[in-house]
Amino acid sequence: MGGSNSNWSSGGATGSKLLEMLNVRVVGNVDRPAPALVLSHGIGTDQSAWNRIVPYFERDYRIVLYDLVCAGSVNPDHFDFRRYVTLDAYVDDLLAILDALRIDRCFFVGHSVSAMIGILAAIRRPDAFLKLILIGASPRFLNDENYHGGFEEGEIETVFAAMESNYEAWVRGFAPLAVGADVPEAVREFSRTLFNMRPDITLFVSRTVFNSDLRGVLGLVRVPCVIVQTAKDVSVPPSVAGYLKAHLGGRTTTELLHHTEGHLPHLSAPAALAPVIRRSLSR
Amino acid sequence: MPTPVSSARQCLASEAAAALDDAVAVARRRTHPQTTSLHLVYALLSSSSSSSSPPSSILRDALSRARSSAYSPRLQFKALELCFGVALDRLPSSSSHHHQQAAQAEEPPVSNSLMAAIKRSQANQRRNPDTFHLYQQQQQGSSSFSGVKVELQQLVLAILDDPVVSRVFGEAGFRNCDIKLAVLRPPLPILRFPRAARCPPLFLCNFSAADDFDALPVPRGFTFPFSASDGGDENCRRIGKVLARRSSRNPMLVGVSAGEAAQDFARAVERQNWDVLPTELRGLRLVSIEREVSELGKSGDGRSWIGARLEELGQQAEEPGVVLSIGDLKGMVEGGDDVGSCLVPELTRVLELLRERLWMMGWSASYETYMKFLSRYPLLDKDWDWQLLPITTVRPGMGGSLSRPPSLMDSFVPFGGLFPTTYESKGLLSSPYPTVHRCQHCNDKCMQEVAAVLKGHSTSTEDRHSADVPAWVQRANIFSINGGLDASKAQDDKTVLNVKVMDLQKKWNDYCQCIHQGCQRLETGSYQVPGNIVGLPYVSGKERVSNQDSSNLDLTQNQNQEGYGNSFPMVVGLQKIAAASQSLSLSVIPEPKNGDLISRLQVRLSKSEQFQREIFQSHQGPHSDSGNHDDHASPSSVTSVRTDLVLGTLHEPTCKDEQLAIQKHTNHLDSCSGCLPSKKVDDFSRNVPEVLVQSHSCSAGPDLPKNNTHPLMCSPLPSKSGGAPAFDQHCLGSSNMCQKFDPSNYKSFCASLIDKVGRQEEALSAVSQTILHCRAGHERHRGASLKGDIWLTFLGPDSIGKKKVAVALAELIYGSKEDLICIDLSYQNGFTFPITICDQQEVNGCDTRFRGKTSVDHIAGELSKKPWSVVFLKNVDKADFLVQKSLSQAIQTGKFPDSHGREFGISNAIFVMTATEAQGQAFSQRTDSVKFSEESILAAQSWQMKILIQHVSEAASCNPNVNVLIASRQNSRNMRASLSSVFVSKRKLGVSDDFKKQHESLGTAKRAHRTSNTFLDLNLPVEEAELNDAESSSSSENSSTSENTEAWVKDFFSAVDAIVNFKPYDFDALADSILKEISKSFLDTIGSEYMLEIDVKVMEQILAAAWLSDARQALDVWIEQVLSRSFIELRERFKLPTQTVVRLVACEDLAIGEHAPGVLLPSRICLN
Repeated sequence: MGGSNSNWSSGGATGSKLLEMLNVRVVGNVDRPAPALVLSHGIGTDQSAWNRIVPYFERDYRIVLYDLVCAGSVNPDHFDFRRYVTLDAYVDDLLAILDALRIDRCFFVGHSVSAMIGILAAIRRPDAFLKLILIGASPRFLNDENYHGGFEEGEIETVFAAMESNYEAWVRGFAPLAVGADVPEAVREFSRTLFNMRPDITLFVSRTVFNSDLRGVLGLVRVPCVIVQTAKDVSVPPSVAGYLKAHLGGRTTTELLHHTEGHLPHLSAPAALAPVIRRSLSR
Repeated sequence: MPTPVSSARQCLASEAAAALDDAVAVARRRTHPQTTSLHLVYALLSSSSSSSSPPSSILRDALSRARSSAYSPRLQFKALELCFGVALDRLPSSSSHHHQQAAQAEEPPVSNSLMAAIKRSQANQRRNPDTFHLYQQQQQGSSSFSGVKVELQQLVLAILDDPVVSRVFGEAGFRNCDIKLAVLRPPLPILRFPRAARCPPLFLCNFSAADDFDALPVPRGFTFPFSASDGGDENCRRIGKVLARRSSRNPMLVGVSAGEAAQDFARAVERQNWDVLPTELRGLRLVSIEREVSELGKSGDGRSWIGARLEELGQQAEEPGVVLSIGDLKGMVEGGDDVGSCLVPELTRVLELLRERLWMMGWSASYETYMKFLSRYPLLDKDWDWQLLPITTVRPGMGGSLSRPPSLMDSFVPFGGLFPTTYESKGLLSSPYPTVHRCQHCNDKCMQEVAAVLKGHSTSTEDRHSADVPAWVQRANIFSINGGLDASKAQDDKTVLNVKVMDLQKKWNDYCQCIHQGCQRLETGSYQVPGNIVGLPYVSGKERVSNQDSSNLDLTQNQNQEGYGNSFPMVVGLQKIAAASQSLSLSVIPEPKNGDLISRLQVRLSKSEQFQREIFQSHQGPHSDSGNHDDHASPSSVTSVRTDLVLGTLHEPTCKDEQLAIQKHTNHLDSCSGCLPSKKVDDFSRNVPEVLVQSHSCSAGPDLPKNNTHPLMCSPLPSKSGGAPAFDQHCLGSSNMCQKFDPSNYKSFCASLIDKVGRQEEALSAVSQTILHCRAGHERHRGASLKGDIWLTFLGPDSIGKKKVAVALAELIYGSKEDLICIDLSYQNGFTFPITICDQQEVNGCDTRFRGKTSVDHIAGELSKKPWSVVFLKNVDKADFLVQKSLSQAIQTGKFPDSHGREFGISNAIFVMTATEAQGQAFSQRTDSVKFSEESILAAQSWQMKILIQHVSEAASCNPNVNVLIASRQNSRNMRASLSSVFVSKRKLGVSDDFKKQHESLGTAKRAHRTSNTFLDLNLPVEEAELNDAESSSSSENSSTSENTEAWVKDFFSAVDAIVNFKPYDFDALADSILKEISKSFLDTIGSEYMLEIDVKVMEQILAAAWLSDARQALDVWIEQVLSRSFIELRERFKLPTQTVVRLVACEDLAIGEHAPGVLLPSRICLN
């Protein structure tokens, strides 16, 4: 199931330009022939969110870092409001990056929206992914019949309204909530990257995410997945991890971080998350 | 004072002057007393002037590039123009002053704000290097003008800063900064998906500026990214892409909203909306046989049509081809045999036949159905050439789930759509409330009800709706003319009305969705805007504008938040953005700076500190006496002058007056500088502020009192409880140490160590030997400098003993138990849950400090706080890569780096590492006779205890469960020792199994897992259980990385000063003595004719507590006060029959509520 090349070429940018646009960095053990480790951040952060995770893997892995096009560190001009209406455009980006770097097999660590992107990418190109490690992942954030995604439609609108009326205030309130644990550095870091995003882009991407529903396609994933779930996550109720485990098509395991709370364990508890990722990679 | 137009004009270049003239004309036409920025913008925008004069195109160009892509350019420009119109209307008219200023009314003077803008742009232009040459040219060309002639571009930029202007732009959905950027930047060819221009809608063809827009570089699809059309467009595009491929060209949509995507595609093809499809596919047709397929199973005569229909299809299929939609796969899966026997082969045949011209498309809401289909017809996906297409975007409008909130921008949409309607049918009140969510029938009914409500409402305001101007504009005019006197009242009414209308709409929407789900939705007319944006409360938009009383700034700002806050994506009010960015720059930027500053200072601090301490320490050392500071200070030439100064002041108090009070230190600065060489004084005074900062960063550390203002005093003693007393104490301690470090004092040091720990004599003597040897400084050099840090590795069992040794070292060498940094490096790997007794002490402290930090940073942070301490690193063989790296570097360089590369001096620290995995090499005295292994004790959890009573017969029946080895030995021995039988049983309660399973299933606690292992294998040699553990852990690690770790451990251990082997703790002996104690107490209280059976868990719990507690007395006290008392209570409450077994068991669902004093055991035991 290829097709990413044609998808991207319609966007008109070449691979190298894309690498530059999305601040792609390859760090760690660059010469290692073994599969690369792709770290993909979620909404509200950029690749700097992985700063505390990267050192744990520098010695043993070739690590690919990049920014989603919606990140604050990417020139907002590149965010095409017509193109990035669905997650598929982000998937195109990811696959185009892998192509440009000539990476044919990789481990993928995705947080939040990137977990969704990873799932879709793995469906589209199962051979390219050896394993997906999904942190704070959810196939669908809105509640449905027989499904508890954690958000009601009304709530979402309230959140969006709050975001629109005063982005700064919203960030100030939301960042500690999302980080969950009492880790001021993580809150500060998350607030910083969240502020960096242009508010309209934040809102647009949030809507894209909340409009996405991956439940119907989870079974198409053939790649083994590891779901990393913290003890308490404002965005993802524990039942969602169960749902993912039950429906993802590949061999799926769940890792529960008991002593860690919040949606951003890579910021708030890197020391706890890194061993889990390492274990997941080697299993 | 307003400026006359002529003088303002002098400042402007020709284009700008022309624009000003236009603005003046506007102001004059409206009889405004002054020409403001608003007039200027309006003039630049207004269509009459723009059609003729080129300058206005600057702003228009910029706007067209800056505008939100969410709305069509025409609507947004119209909105903008109207907003400015309204804003101008709100300006006071000069009619009242007309008689006074008749002359000026000819040419309304330039307002202060506009003049200020002109001045700003002048200044800007002068500074701006891009336009500098222009300015010079002007100077040369005509020297008569004193100032700079402002170009239009600069003028526009300056005007945009005017809050009044930016507000109006904000109201129309533009963001100030975007416009500015667009003005500054030339139009760039922006990458966008090709989207053919469509004909402008008819109802706006009278818009005079239409020509201008055609020349704009931006492709202008008449689309709304958030309406259904665009999400659908994206899906259609992807479907089209699949269709255009050579192989795998038949799209199979899977996903919750796949059905909608299929519908969207069908609709796009039907409407011949070719934008979304590749060019070669234009003219495509779509034939759906979904209904037929679903009916196939029900009616018998399915076969007849299939052949005929497909035959027909074959004839129809001409260039470029036909897409055959088989619809939901569910139909195929659930269909009868006909599907399998007839449809499928027939389809295969037709597909084969018309390979180039026939596509097939299907969808499935879930992959299960898809899988079921494939399992039923294996390999069909290959035969049918399917391409799986995950559809994940839910249509936003679906079920009203994410319908957009109402906003003013939206209110323009119905305005556009209904323009003709209001012309045609005056007073058609219900028309502002159209909706596409309802079917025709329901819609009509809804309209009726709405009309009824509106009619029932007060009549006075309604008349105006029927006017031929868009109603809200008119109302706005009216209100502004009336001075908004009755606005509030009308507003109240309107709010009520609004709510009613909304309710009605909602009601009918719901009703319609319930009843008429299958019905075709109301098709929007050709002049109406497509999509589901139309269903908006119209009145609300109107109200917002009518609220805009010019005097009421607050209100309008609120509105900005409400109204424009909701429109998307160019949403947020300008002020908000500005505020956000300001506070962003204010709040965020300083922090990293601070951080840097602090970190830099800390590095510097640590350097100087370390150095001082070396001096200080050597000063305490056996070979140094207080006289030879100079010798020790000589290495300081390596460090900076600043360090010298610090050292000087350090020596000052230490040599002059050891008992110096802290108050004196504050006054000490002058005398210090006085006693320094005079040439350094300047440096010193310059350095003082920096040193002060150091002390600040220092006093952020734990207990340093604020009054300790002497900056130099802080640095040597940051970890102390502060001030002079600590200093004194330290001096005393060090003087003690001087004696102890003397080789002749080896015995006393070792003895006091053994006294504190109470066991492991051999290990302790090795430890004390190493420490004394190192402190004596024999051949301990690292490069040129002395190596002050000591590295010890404790191998083997008795983890608690190791910890005790570390605590004892801290106490003996550094003076306090607090001078211990204790970190379990395996802690992050295996989260022990629930907490075992042995972990209890540590986790409490660690957990909270650990969060958000890597272990390295945690260690480094602690080191910076207490550099004089024992660093106790448990399970160093489990250390993560970062810690490994830092430790290696530390042992080589004497500096411990954290994850940011900051280094912390360790020359005063003693590093104690422990490892259990590596014990095999040095340790081999284990026998089968071990009843209680260290693992089982470590795994013991603190449960509440309770006492049960059982008859012997019952107990006897349970005997097979009892661990024979332990029970029999215990039994016989205790039988011999005393008459009563006290034995330890291994019986588990039912609860425990469940509980454990639960934990295992959660994937938690390696420990818990181990626990059960060792329980089961209690009779087996311990090595075997360990082997299992080792196996499981090695298999869980990547082979290469674990090899790396092992190699590192080996390397690292070869570099430490000493490896000390610990002996296993003899739990059996402890158990024996405890049992003896308990049986004595049992005999005393209950009597010899009864038996006491102690659950093995309880025994482990008691053993763990005894192992942990410093003194045996605490346990004896517990036996006496808690256990014996329970026995007594038992005897009193229950009349015990003979032949009774008293069982002491653990309640494995109840953690200990309250601890007994001094020992981690329950303060009371439940009786049952």
